[in-house]
Amino acid sequence: MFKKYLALLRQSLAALFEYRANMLIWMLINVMPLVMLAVWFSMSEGGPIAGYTQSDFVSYYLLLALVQQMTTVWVIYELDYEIRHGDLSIKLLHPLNPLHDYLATNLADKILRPFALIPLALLAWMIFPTIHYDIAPLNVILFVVALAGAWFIRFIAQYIFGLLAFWVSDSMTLNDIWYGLSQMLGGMIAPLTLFPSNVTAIANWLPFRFMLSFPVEIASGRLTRADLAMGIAAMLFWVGVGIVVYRWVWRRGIRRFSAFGA
Amino acid sequence: MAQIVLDHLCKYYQVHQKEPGLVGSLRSFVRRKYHDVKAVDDLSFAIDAGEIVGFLGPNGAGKTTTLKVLSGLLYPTSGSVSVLGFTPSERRDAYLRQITLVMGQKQQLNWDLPAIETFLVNAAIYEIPDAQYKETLDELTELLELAPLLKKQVRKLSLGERMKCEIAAALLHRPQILFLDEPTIGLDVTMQTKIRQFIAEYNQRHKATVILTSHYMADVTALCQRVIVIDHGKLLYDGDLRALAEKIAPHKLIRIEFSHSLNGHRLEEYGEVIKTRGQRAELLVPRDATPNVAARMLAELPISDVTIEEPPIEQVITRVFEQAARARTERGESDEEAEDE
Repeated sequence: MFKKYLALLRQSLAALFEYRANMLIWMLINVMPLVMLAVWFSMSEGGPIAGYTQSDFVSYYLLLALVQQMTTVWVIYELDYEIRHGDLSIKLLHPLNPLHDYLATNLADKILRPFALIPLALLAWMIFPTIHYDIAPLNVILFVVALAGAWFIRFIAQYIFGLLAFWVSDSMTLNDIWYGLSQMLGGMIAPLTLFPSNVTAIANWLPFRFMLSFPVEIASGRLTRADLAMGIAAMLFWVGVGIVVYRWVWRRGIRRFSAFGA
Repeated sequence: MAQIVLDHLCKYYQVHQKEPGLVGSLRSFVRRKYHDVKAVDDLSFAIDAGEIVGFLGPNGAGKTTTLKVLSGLLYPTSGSVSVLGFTPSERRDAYLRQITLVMGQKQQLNWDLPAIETFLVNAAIYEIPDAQYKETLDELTELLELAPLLKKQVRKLSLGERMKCEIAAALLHRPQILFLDEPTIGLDVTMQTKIRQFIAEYNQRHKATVILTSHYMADVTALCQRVIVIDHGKLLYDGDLRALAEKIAPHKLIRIEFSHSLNGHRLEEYGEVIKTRGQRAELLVPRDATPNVAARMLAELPISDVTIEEPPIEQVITRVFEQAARARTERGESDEEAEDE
């Protein structure tokens, strides 16, 4: 299996290199966190808001932007297109679940992204020297684990929505709703602790938190041991849910595809 | 032992019809009327290892649908399918490794990269050992003349070149069973001949079983001894191509060129005249009578050149379909075609 992934990755990387200009632009367009940063930056001018100083907001949103970049997923567009145009049939002739090809394509992008992001991160650090994170080794490891979890949950969620193209012609709308919710409840509009406490209490257990906010929360050092443990557990729970739902949808979807074909 | 066995295969699609216009749209929204399109209707045949079988039929006959069922992309509405002992719709890896489906209009090569890149990915996916990969690649490169093409971006290749690379990609894993759906469509004459030669060669070397659909009769006559003819999902004929021609068109075609004009002789005496033009003519003569008629004509007419031919296979097949169409009209059946064959 490893050999297959290696081969798929090689191919995806090669294909990505063909689109050098595109790559750069995709990587640089990431407006939302910066917009929100501008809002909270000016709002916290007069003093901290719910425990977040101006510097805290800067730290938060810059890292959020990085996490966003390192977890982007676009597989729904690829899947939707290929299902509709019958291109999926070609993939189904191979003795390999098409999921792996899509995963490898996304992974290849993630391998290349840091090369564009690291210079930007350094630039941001120079502009905002007061940004601070908890960089204790254990924390860094947990951050990376949460980052991987965020990427996976975003991917599998979009993939599942993409598979709905087997049934409905409008799976993208569902995905848009999902995306909207993840912006609100995933920490983009505001750090989750800034919401009313009953909203935060619910949001802490929803998958959206683990798609974006959780890695940043870990890096901020504001989570207690208990918080961390519960967070990781919840994240793993949603990863598990994602896998289970994907398998169920895929099995039914492929049966339906085989009934109607393309 | 038969390798490919179809037993009363039926594949029906549910399709709803919509009246044209806005009222039709509203009606269709409120209550949908579904009816079955019988893409494949009670089809049965068995194919042995190493055969090259031509699968013929007009557009919408059910050929591509049948190939898709055989390769596991579609599952049957009823009936059973068995290939190499597997049930194709289960899509087991072990099964997929032994077959290939080449569809003229669909491509698996990565558009932005050279073909060789896709080959490498396939080698990994099909778990082809390095030595075998190299051997197969060399063989395919030689047979299909791929050497100058492999490192060019696929989107820069011409249609013919792309088709050759697609076929190579599909055969990299040395499948035992080849399903070829219109492999020569859109190709020029030279390329068609090359692909035909290749298929024959591959069949010889690897004893691979081939099911080939094509609208080019030249493909069929060059490669297939046996043909299966289907129309509207039903089997019309399964057997030797030659025998079919003799049954449907029990005539031979005699083409003559005269050295000078006929005085008084009437060609109609010799056979059915189908064409005259200046000093040339074409006649249809019953097979058994051909030697005698030819001898008479040579003795009695001022002939400068003569050829005796089988009637073109296109005519034969067209007649088969016409007969079937007439039979359907007599039975009062509708003329609905399957969507993508």
